[in-house]
Amino acid sequence: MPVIVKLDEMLAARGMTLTSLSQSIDITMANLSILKTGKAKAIRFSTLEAICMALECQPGDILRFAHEGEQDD
Amino acid sequence: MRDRGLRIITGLLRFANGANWLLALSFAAAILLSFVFGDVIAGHLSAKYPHGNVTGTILTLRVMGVLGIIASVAVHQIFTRLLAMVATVRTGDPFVASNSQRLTRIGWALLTIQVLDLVMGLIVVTLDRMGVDHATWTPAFTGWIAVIMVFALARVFRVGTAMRDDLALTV
Repeated sequence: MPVIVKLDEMLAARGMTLTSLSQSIDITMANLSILKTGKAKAIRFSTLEAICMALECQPGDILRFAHEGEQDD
Repeated sequence: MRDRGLRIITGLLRFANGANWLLALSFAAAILLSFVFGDVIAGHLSAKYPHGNVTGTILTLRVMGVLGIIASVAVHQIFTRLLAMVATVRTGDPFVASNSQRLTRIGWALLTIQVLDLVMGLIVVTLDRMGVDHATWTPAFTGWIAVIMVFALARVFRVGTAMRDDLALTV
């Protein structure tokens, strides 16, 4: 998928778990897992805003665009 | 989900489907009997229409019986698909791709019935030319509207289901 979700990296950088993020932004673990594993087809601005607030980061820290065939890193 | 209206519809559809098969069996029996009692029928027709085409008339009646059986198969498709669609409400999710496919199948079955109706029209014209008594026939325009409507609804259902599936993975 061209848009890669780097939620794992940001969580590790902030020393947070998916569970604690889920509790702090009031989004279910199931939905956050869908986002984390790259299965999500779309992300709401409200979700992005909540994650950025909780992780004190920018949307670009969570999402990255990769060209077709480019390695996911 | 328990819904009284759907329970009544399910019962009606089951009854109508059973009646439809009885009708199909009676068509098949009529065709079979037309061979068994071929001479009796031919004699009766010769007496009624002394200058008529008896063989042609019997053949036309048999063709009408075959058309009736084909129509029953189409009606069976409609009733069983509707029953399956109603059943999806009970299981909790009627807005699924399989229901749009069922609706498309119903559309094709309705189209088949409409085409059979046109063939019936041709048969009525043929019987008229042979000077044989027949029931009146007029084109069923509402049936054609129903065909278009069901195909349109099936498409809307299909696209709507896909859109919902898309939204399901929106976080």
